[in-house]
Amino acid sequence: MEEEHFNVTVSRADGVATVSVSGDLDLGSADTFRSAVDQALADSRRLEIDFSGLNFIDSSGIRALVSIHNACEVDGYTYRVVAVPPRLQRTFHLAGLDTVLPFS
Amino acid sequence: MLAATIRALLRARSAESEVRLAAREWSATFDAISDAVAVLAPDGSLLRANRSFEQIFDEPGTDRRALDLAGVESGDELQLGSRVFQVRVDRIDHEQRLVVTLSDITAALAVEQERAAALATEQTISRTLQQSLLPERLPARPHLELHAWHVAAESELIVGGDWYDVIETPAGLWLVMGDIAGHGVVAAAQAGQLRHSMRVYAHEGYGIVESLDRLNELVRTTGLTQMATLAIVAVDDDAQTGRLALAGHPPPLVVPRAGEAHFAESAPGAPLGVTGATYAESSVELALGDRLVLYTDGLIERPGESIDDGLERMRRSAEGVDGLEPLRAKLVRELSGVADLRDDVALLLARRV
Repeated sequence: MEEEHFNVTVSRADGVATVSVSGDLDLGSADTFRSAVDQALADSRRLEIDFSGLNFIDSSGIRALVSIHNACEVDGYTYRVVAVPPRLQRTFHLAGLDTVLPFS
Repeated sequence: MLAATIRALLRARSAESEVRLAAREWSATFDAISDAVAVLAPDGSLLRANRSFEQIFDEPGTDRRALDLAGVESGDELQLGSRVFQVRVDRIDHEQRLVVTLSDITAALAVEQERAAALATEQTISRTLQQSLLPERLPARPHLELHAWHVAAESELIVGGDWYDVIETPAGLWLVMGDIAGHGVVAAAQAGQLRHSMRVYAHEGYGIVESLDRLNELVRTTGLTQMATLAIVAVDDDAQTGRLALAGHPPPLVVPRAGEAHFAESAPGAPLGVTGATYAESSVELALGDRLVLYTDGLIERPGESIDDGLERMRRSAEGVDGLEPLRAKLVRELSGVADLRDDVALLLARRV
């Protein structure tokens, strides 16, 4: 089930680890996403989360994103969130995340 | 002729020995069964009993005890001394014989009772914890009518991190709606800590934005919870104006006396627990009869659906019903799916009167 609705890949270029997410980031996939980010941060100090393929995010997905944000702040990693599809921008706005998280 | 007689005799003897063998097999089996088995005549007198049966009854074969047994039915439970037996009655040969089987269920019953006691304890803990999360009563104000609802009112087994509170301050009431990420008693205990911390900030005279700042600092530095969302509306004593601040929580719904329901204009801030979060205040004007609905996302969030769809469904559901309690009932009925109340849901409604 999870494979059908969610996919995450990690790629590296010029010292930046890119975690690309597609599908639904929810209760069933939040831990997988978090693990992929931890793996990406193991040998990279710069992180990019690519949400261009993101279809849906629920409160579990937001919680995962918040914990990544806090971990990056504490440990001094640089990260940014890119390519949020327009219809999900409102979700991030309502959750107040656009006031703190580095979206671009 | 003679040969035929001998063959017939031999066959009879072989049949006889088979019958004897079968009788011995049956007798050994009868006595080996751990259930107590007795065969009764139609008048209830005991014809035969196995070893387990005789061990239960000190005086096997007495008519009195046998008569007692004649009155039992399948499915009965029979208490004999400190043990409990389940009864099975088989009627054979047109009720010429009753076979009564008694199975000792004392141990199984004890396990069942322990389980029931454990469940009752758990329910008491859940209920107590849930009650500690919610105000015992809502304060009365001349210009503001209040009504609140929590899913625990419908399903005692749901314990979670949703809570509401109404805090009395010198300038008016604070309506608070909060949601801790996660479920169960841990989330409920964390929610209790946030609720009381917020009361402390309010009583110490902090404003809603300062209180959120402090609460966020508390959550971040103590690791009290990973994430929580919160909405506060501070309503003035005349109930004409409310000041609103949000921490990752969807905005309150305004249901005016006249006109369409809409979500309050707000400046969303990040959830509590986010490093670097900042909060801002906006205002909500209430005309006479206007209603305000604070809620948790259990009411709007559905798998695979965008939050806007959930919000719009709620907005439409709030149309066409008067009063606070009827509005709450309609929202719960139409949005949470009463048959499937699994998620935590809380609602706090206010009306300017």
